[in-house]
Parts: sequence; C-alpha cells; structure tokens
Amino acid sequence: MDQALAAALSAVSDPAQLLFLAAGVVAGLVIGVVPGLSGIFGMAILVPLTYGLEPTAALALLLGMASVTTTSDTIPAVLVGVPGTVGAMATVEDGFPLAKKGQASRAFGAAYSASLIGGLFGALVLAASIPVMRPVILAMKTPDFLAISMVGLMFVALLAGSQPVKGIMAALLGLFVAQIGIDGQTASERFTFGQIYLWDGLPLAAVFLGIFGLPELAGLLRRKYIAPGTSTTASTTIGDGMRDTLREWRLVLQSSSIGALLGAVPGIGLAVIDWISYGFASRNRRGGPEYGTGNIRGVIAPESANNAKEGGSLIPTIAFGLPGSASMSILLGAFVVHGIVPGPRMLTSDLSLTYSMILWIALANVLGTVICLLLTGHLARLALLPVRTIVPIALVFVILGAFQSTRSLGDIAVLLVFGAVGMAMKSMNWPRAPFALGFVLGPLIERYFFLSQQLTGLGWLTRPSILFAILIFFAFIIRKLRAWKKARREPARIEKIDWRLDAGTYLATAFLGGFILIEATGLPRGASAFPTIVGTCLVLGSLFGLTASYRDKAVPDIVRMPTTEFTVLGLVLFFTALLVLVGPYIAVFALVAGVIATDRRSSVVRTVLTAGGTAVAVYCLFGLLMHLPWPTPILL
Amino acid sequence: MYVRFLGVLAALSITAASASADVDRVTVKVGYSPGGGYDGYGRLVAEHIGRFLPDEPTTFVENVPGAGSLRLAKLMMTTEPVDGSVIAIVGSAVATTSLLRPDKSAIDPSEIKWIGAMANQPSFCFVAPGSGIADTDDFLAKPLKVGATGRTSQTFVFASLVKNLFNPDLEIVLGFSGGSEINLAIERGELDGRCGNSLSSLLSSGRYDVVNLVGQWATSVPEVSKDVRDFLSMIDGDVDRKAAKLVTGTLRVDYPFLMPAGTPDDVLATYRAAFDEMVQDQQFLSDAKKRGLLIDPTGGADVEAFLQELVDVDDATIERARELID
Repeated sequence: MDQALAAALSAVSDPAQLLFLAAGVVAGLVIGVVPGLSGIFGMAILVPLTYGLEPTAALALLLGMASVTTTSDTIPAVLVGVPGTVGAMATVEDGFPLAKKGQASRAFGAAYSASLIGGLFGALVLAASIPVMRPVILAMKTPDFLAISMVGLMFVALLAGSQPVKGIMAALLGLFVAQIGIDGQTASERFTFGQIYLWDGLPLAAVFLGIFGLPELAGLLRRKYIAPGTSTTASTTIGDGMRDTLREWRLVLQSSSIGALLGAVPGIGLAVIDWISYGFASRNRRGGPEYGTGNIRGVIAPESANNAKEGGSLIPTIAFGLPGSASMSILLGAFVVHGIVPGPRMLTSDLSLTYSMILWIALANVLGTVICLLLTGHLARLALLPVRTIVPIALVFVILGAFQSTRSLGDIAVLLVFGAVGMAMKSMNWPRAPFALGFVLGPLIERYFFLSQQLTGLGWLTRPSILFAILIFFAFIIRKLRAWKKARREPARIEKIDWRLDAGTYLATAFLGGFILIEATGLPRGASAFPTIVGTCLVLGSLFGLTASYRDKAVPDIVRMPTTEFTVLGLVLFFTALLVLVGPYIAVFALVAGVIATDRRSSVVRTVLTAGGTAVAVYCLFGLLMHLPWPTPILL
Repeated sequence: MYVRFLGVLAALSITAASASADVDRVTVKVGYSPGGGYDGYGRLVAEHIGRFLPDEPTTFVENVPGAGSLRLAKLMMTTEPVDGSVIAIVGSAVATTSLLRPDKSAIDPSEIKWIGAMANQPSFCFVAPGSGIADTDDFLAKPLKVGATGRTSQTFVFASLVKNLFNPDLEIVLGFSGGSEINLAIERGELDGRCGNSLSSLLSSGRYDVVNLVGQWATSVPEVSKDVRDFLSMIDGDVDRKAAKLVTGTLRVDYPFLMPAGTPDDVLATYRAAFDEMVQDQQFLSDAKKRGLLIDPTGGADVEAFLQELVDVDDATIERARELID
C-alpha cells in the first residue's frame, strides 16, 4: 500500500501532469458556470483528447474537470438565480436571496469553502472505503437501493415547508412527468402522444432550467439591480462566508456524508443529493432567517454535498465498473482505452491508480476553490449591473443550455412549457423542490420496486433497510404533522393566494390525474401500475386541496399581474423564432441588444458591445467547442 | 422603451449576416447513451472516417439515445438530411424489428442505406463461477434467474430464446439499467447469470476468462470461443432453427452504420468506399485494438444483401420467431 501511495504521489507531483489537472479544472469551472452543461458534457469533450496521454495524466484532466463543475455552478445560482448545473438548484433557494440583499460575496465565500471541504471529504471517503468498498457494495441488495430511493422521496415532507399538500402534489407531478417515454420493462410508450422526441423521456436539464431558471429570471425583471444600492461587495465579505462555513462545520460534515454516500448509489444524481442535503439542513434555522430568504445554511449544505458526490460516485465505478453517474459511464470508456480494468485489481495491483484518482480529486477541489475565490470580487460586482443587461445574457445561456440537451427544438419547447409550470408553481406557493425529487427518484423507485419483486417475491418487504425506510416514513409524518398543525395556528408567513386560483389549479391537477388513469388502462400491466398509483393520488390530493381552498377562502392583499413572466416566456419564443429564421448568432445579438435597449440609461455603444460579446461567447462555446448543430436558418 | 427594442430588431433585419449550415462537416449519430460499445464504435469511426472521405470533412459525435436505438433509426428514416452530413450507428436488430415486433417499429428495412458493419461476433450466456451451474446442460435444465435490461435488448431476446427453446424454468428478471448493473447483481448472488454479452465486451472487461460461459449465439463461431457450446446447433426442429436464425442473424452484421433513407446512390457509394478503406487502415485497426473494440467488418452492399436474405423467410418462421422472443 505504501508503495502504491508513493507511486501515486510521485505521479501527481509531476508538473506536466499538474498542468493537465489545471486544464481540466479550468474546463470544469467554465462548464459549471454555463447553465445546462454538466460533467457528462465535459467528459464527452475531453475523453477523446486523452487517448494519447498516460493514464494518470488522462485521469488528471478528466477528474480535474468533473470535480469542480459543482464549485463554479454556484456563480449563476447566486447571481441570477439560475443553477449552473442541477447540483446548484438548492443553492439558488438561499444563495440568490443573499445576493439580492447585497451579500453575494458572503454567499460565494460560504459556497466555495463548503465545496472545498465537501470535495476533500468525498476524496477521503473514497480513500477510506478502499478496503471495504467491494464487500459493502456486495452486501447491498436491490431492495436496499429501493429503500434508499424511498427515503430520498420522503424528503419531500421536509422540502414542502408549510405547504404539505402542495408539496406532495408537486412531487406527484414530478413522478408523472418522469413516466413520459418508453417504459424500460414492457417497451411500451407512456404518454408520448406519438412523438419520437418523447421516446427517451424529457431531458432533465431542459425541465429543470424551466422549472427553476425561468421563474427566477422573471422575478429579476421586476427589479432594476440584483442587489440593492451599490453596496454588494462592501456589505459582506468572502471572509464572512468562510467563517459561516467553519461555524457550521457540523452541517458541512453531515452534508458531505450525504453527498459522498448517496453519490455511490447509481442513479441518485446531483439533482437529488443537493435537495436532500438542503432538506436536511432546513430542519433547523440555527438563528438565521427563514429558509428561502437567505439563510446561509441553505447554501452551505448543498454545496458541501454536491462536491462530495464525486468521490462517492467513483466507488462503484472503481470497484465494479458500475458507473455511479452518467459522466462516470464515459469515464469507464476512457478506462478501457487506457487499459484500466475496474474491479478487484484497482484495489490491489492497480492501487496506485486509485490513489492518484483520490489525490487528483482533492487537488482539483483546492485549485477550483482558489480560482473561484480569486474571481469572486469581480463576479460579485456583476450584481451591480442593471438587470436588463444581466437577464438577457442569462436567458440566452438558459435557452441554449436547454437546447443542447438533445439538440432539438423540442428542448426549447420543454423549457418553455416547464418554465410556465415553474412560474405558476412559484406564484401559487407550490414548492418546486418536491417536483425535482419526484422527477429523479420516481423512475428509480419504479425500477427497483419491480426488480425487488422479481428477485425476491415478497421477501424484499422483510429487508431491514425497507423496514427502516417505513420507520423513517412514520417518524417524518409524526414530526411534520406537529409542525404543520403549529404552522396552521400561526399567522401565515407566506403570501396568500386567491382561493379561486388555488381551486382552479386543483381542478386542473384532478383532470390530469383522471387523464393519467384513463391512459393507464391502455398500457400493459407492468407499465400501468405506477401511473395508476400516481393518477389516483393526484385525484385524491386535488380533492383534498380543493376542499381546503374552499374552506379557507383566502383572498390576497395585493394581486400582482404576471407581466414579467409573460415577458420572459415571450423572449424565449422570440429567440426561438429568430433562431429558426436567421440562425443563432443574430438571434443572440437581437435578444441581448433588444432587451438592453429597453433600458433608458443604456448607451448604444455599450448595448452593441454587450450583445456582440455575448454572440461571440456563444459562437466560441456552442459553435466552436460543442459544434451544436443549429437548425438551418430559413431566411439565410 | 419597447420602441427602442423594435428599433434594434429593424436594424438587425437589415444587416442580417450569413450564418448558413456547414456542408463540410459530418455528424456521427449514436443511438445509445455515451459509454458502452455502440458509443465506442461510433466515436472510433468519427475519428477516422473523415480521412477517407473527399475533402476530409470534420466529424462530430452526437448521442441520440432512445428505445434501444429505434428512435434514431426512425429519425434516419424520416427527418435526417440525405446530403451525407449525417451517418448513424444503431443496433443491428433494427433491421428485423419491423418483422419481429411490428407494434414497435414501422421501419422498412429495404429503405435502410447501410454503409457497413463493424463486427461479426457471438453473444454469450454466462453464469457466475459459484452459482452451482456446472455446464451448459445444467444451464439448460435447472431453474435459474438471469438478468435483462429491456424487452428489445439482446439481454432479453437471447435469454428468451434459451427459455423458449431449451429451459422453460429460466426466469428472466427485467428492468436493469445496463449490463454492468446485471453483472453486479450476479456478483451479489441475486442472479445466476445473464445472456446477451458480446465477445468484445467480455474481453475488454477482463471477464471472459473469469465467468463460466455456458453457451453462445453465433452466426459463425470464432476460434477464440470454439469450446463454448453453440445454441443454434443444438436446436432440433427446422422451424425453430430457422426462427432462431432470424432472431440472431443480425449478429453477423453487428454495430452497423447507416445513412438516412433516400440518400442518393453516389453519396452512399462514397461512404461505402470510405468505410471499406477505413477498416483496412492500420492506424484505424490499432486504435480499435487499443480501445478493446473487435473489428470483423462487412461492407455495406454485403450487409444489405445478407439482411435481405435473412428476412426473406416464410410466415411460419416469422410467427415462431415472434413467439420465441415474447
């Protein structure tokens, strides 16, 4: 073991290999900043570049990239409320309000330091698990993965806040949306309406950018600047954020553990890990403001967890060749090229390679954090720019981030539809995090349920993990029932919604539930079970919500028209029309210049420079680097 | 302020610059997600085919997963450009899907423009060494569980053939996310084994000499696996054998590349010539070897002829083949 460690240390101290790590880290930071791009994209781009490299140098480049996308994804999440990757969705909840309060630097300081500790923790977990990773994974059976997924879904209860019915309904909507596509078991089409585009289900990035990204951009348009006044950087410092992280060391370690352990479970991706760690943190405010209004713990928890995930997801990849995440499946392809065979050899004769991976992850996290910290001062100043400069640029990257999902105009349609759904959910106090959990965990629960049943009959019901999950379920219910009852007695802390709007929404979800039930009758048995359950729960939940709305008959103090929401959706449509008619670069220029021009204070020169700069950036990233196949312009 | 917005638009519409689509680029579309054999062959060809095409176009890879590559196959039959700017790799079973699973695919195999196929390799069934299954006879006689991904995958289809032809007590557990998850379930003792594992995958993962190979589906048994029992030769009835040959025949032209339906003959001929040249190229072959990808190619015209012959069977055979994979 000492020899292996010495060999790994010698490899990672080679300046040439450190250069590859640095290149990977820079690539990862860029990928993390652009909404919609993720580690899987980086892997696909970088793997071919590694074919001529030594295995350790190749791993330096690839792991350097993969380790830090979740460090820089905080930047757009905090500044404009749009997560850079799905791993920063939860960071938006409190990071963005902090920026709006003029505390962007504090949020960045806390996020980066939490990311660093999380990343190092993940590497440590990977190192510590070397002697036990194979026996532990072999001891876990399929029903145990079902139990883990079920417990994950139970976090809906924590994430629903004071809106339990709406939270559960949102989770059910997520579960339904995840069922769209060809059912893996029976190969039958579910809710695809004859569209080939829907065969592989809805693209995660486009759905989440719609649900979480567009509503925040619409909210931003109601302001002139992200931060009040001109005191963004002055009111708090990076040091404040780092001190917050150190003060919350217990939370950092807990969240890192969540990230590293769940990262090792195949299928449980960043989208789940960040919300579960956020839900875990949200049990306690620790003297801070309400969650969702700028509690620093809401930034620290997901940022620790999502960086710790990388170390965790390497565990099944190294030990069994089972990719812990989508990007790991590409890494496995690179393993083959470099003659690396996952399995027992990685823990014996090739142990030095495993050690070098651990060291690369640790070093990448340190380097990524240092670079981000150096940039923070400049980035935080972006919050001082007028909103009408920031929003169109962010919108361009959100649309193109969604478009690169399957490189089809259908992706933009998905963005638009789920953007509207997200805006409706936000304005009607429907928590959106449960939707994310339902969307990601639903297919896992369905799959593991059927696998468990086929493998063990009813035996899975007696697995300790399943019994533990059931116990946790009841503990959650008891704990939350008490909290919800207390919340009902207290004056409402959230904006009231007109009961007729609420009732109308519940009627719509009831119809949706009914539609799902009718459609399910035409599906084969294996494919119809889960839609039937979801449809039934949607109908019942809607009736319950409908009754509650009628009983409360709440009337809001102020009625706000969704003007900015319509503006954002209109801009997406406008951009898409230009994309189809005149191509991407003119469309980018037109959108950015057009929106900036509506700001009376903007000069023509600044408008043209900003719009032109954005078009050039889009050309470099999406054209030159990604070779995105744009639709052929009709007019040119 | 909206007037200013419209002003910018008006100015732009006058000064619209050229941004037309490239024609000197070729996109290799892969019908599966990144990672795995098809993606590997797709990326390998993307990196080499350009050298053998006129003007050496730049090549790119795009993954278009869905329904075991049926989604991409359908797109290639309907919407993809026919100017040679898009080629694709799909599962070879796409050629027989409309015959064997008419409810899943309306693709007319005669419209498919094959460029060539990369491999002719057997597909194996194996069990874990400690599973208590000693040999092929045991595998075909004992009640046991094998894992599969989806109903249209080789993991299900080839196991289904074994179940319906030899061992009715074989239980196929459906719903695994991929081959590596099945392998892990075998290692955990939840499954006894699996079918539908290609030779190249077994060799590159180092499992070929570790697992207990209990049989192979092959159109021609290669030297390396001559000691493993050949299921096709063990089938008694004539209709059953013909039906099994129909189902497994596409292994002869595995990892095939194709062009969109309606591609002009001269464009297709250019690609077929480039393919034939590429698969002889030493640089290409050594790169493939490095990546653990077996190359045993068939040219496009031969693929077309072989598949035409394969699907030219009587209704009774088709009916039986459908029963065997249900």
